[in-house]
Amino acid sequence: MSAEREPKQEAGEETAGGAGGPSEGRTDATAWQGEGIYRREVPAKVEDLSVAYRAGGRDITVARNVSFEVAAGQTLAVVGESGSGKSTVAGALLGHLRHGSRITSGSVEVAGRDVFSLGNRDLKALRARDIAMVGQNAGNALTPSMRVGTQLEEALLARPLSRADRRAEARALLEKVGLPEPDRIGRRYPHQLSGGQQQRVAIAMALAARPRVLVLDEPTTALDVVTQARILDLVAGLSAELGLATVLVSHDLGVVARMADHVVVMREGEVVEAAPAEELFASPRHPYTGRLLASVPRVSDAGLAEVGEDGTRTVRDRAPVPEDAPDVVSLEDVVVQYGRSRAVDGVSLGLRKGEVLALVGESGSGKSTLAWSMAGLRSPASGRMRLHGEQEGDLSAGARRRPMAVRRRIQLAFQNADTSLNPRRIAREAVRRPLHFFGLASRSDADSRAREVIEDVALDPALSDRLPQQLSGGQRQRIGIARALAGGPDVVVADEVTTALDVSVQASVLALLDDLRTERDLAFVFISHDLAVVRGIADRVAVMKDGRVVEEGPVEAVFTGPNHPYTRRLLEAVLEPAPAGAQGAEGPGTARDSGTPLPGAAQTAGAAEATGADGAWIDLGGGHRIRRGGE
Amino acid sequence: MSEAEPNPVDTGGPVKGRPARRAGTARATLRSMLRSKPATAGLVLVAVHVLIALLAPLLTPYSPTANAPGSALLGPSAGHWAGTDALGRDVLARVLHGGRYALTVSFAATACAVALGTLVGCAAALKGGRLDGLVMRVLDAVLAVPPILALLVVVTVLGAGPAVIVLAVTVVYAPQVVRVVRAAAMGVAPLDYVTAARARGERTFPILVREVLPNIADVVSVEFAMRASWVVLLISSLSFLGFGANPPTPDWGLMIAENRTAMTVVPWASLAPIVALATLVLGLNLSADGLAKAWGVDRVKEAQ
Repeated sequence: MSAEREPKQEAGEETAGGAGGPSEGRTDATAWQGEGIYRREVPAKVEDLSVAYRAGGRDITVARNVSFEVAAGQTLAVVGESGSGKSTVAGALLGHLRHGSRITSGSVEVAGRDVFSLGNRDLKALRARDIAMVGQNAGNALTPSMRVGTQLEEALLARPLSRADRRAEARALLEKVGLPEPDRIGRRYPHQLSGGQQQRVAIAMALAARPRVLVLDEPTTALDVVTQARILDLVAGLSAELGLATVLVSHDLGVVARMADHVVVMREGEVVEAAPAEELFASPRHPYTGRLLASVPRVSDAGLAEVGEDGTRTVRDRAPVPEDAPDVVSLEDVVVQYGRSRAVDGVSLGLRKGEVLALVGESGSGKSTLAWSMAGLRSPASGRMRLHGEQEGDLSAGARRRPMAVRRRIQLAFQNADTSLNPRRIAREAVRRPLHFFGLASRSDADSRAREVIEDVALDPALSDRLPQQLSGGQRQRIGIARALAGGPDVVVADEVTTALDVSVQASVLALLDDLRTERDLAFVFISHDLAVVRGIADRVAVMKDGRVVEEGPVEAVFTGPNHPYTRRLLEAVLEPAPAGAQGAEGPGTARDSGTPLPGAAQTAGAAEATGADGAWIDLGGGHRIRRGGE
Repeated sequence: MSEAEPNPVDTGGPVKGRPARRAGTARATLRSMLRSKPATAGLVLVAVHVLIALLAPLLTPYSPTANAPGSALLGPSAGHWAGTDALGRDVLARVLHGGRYALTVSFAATACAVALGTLVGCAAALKGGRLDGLVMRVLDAVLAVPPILALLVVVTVLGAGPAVIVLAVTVVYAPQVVRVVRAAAMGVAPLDYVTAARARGERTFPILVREVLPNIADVVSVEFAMRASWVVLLISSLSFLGFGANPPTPDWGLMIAENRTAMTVVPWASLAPIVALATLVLGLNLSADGLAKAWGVDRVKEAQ
């Protein structure tokens, strides 16, 4: 009882303190400064900050003259693409610089103290009490060999609490971040938790010391949309409740629109625009911000968006798939097992020539397993998988047992451009090898053929002499696509190929895929958890949950509804960087409360109840069908 | 893994720009090693030993095997810098020649052990599943037998020729190499470029050579250098016990065994081969550590 009440009281004090009230009970280092100073100071303030590192005998600036401040209870977002210096700034707030970097001008003040003038001990104290950080991959931030409850108690050592109080407080924190059954969760090890749960524990740890400044570095990038929405809600609620000054670093403008009061846009180390969130999203002043905003795919787009140099946005026409297009791949009641658990549980799907079929769903829904199974990396336990109907190959055999002609017809492209190419070989080798391996080019002309394929993916063939680490993420991804194309496939399985890319690069890679599809009549299995991207590129969507397809249909139909309640939930979790005006009372960035079902969902649920048993399909016409139940 | 890394097992075709890169990384590695004093000392020690072994006949006027009963058991003098042994042979000449046996047999045995271990370790990591389980259990069994005991059994049964010793050392040390290489290969096997090769339906061996080996070359090289020092010690121990080199072959282990009874009379006859052996092992160890540091290979982590 007391354990549950206590943190609320303290949280109340914290809010008062953060908002400028007196801070009784605070015995930490800031108390000596006296009430007067304490009341007026800004929790986090960056002034004219420049950071550089030395390489090859000259200074390379990673951040130039960055200034901003965050008030208590406010959220400031630092936005930028990779290499913009946003993470450098986030690190600087905690007094951390990457090895070899140094401050060339300016200062960082947290809780009234200049971070970079502090000695090791004071810096440690500052990090223990006043500022906390939650990183992108919480799994890495937790000690794998320690129960999460114990780790939390350790984080609480910064406060003068008895052992029993610490235990109670740790439990209260786990409850506060919305973890069910905090006692059980506290006894688990990090690997026994899901990604979302790990992120929650990391947030609880960050809050343990009751910091005044919270730095979030891409806190939800590694999570799927539904979990992302929940975590963001949690953080927003907590920072309002505790009066935290929050600095959010993100490349995702949807997340920023949802969370931020102020936005700082960075590019190549410089701040190009800083404005209140509503203002920035409604009318961006800097052309770069405009282009960035325009590049973000929207759920409302009927096709792929193309952005001009000046930030104008046009939506590409979708090339319709002919009615009589033959099936390239047909799946019938496919089951894929891992041990005794069914990762894919009775999936029947068809993929037509020249069609993009999107597989969407949360992590663990079986969409990647299904795709890998098609690519021959895991044989299905039962069911039929055919290429080109009856006359050609059986896809239920593993890659090695498929005839060469079948093997090269279905190829994979990967999510992570960092690991998709062999770091010890020049990029062209990745394309040359399949050409030679599939017998499409002799040893002598494989190299020139590889150059041609690389040109097809709109990349300068000269770049392919480089090693992967000398290429940018987008360039590596193009090589990855070229590798998939080298075999002359009919089907490319693209597993989250654009997820790890910056929005502008993402747009160009998507346009490339779309071009390839129309030019070569390629069929794509496009796996993604980003519904806005799916809306732009896919012809048909299959929504997967727990290894089953719960809804399937043409993209228009799926995005207009009525839907399976699960699809609804996915759609509601999508965050869009929408101007404030267009959203009405909800403000910029919408993630509707996933707890309340929309009228459409209620309808489908009702209709389904009338029609039949659990698992039965409700046919809505035009190939759009919904499975009953499965919620 | 650091970027400065050579690519000795690369089988890539004649691609432009490659040789330059390889030379560049070799130079970077050398520079990085020479920056550390212990590593430099290690490299110098090993280089001196190799040179002496190669040039031994030119460095001394005495034959290492010819008996001279008239000048037996002499102390150090201007004629015999390290004295002579019970059969009147010049100790220095025998020490200088003694490296030949130790170095060649050790090198061959280490090369075989590392090659076999790398092959099996990579295959286990790539294939996984039942093969991996089986290999690891067999290895556990082999690792439970003390190396010197296993060697003695093999040598007693098959005789003590250099070929038998190479074979025996390979069998004894390959399992330890397998463990290290398997751990490293496990880190590479799930990466997307390996998956891409699997999806093409490539066989395990080409995947191993093309995709996995170039990325664990650093681990294999360090393992080679480290393993070599163990093998040198083991082979000398065998000779000492009378199962290695046959008399009158000049060999350090054998020399120590032959002369230990005369230790009080001519201490240098046993001390000189001990010093030679110790410096070689020390040099190999220091070089391996330097190499590991230059390439950022975490030996503690890899061994787990």
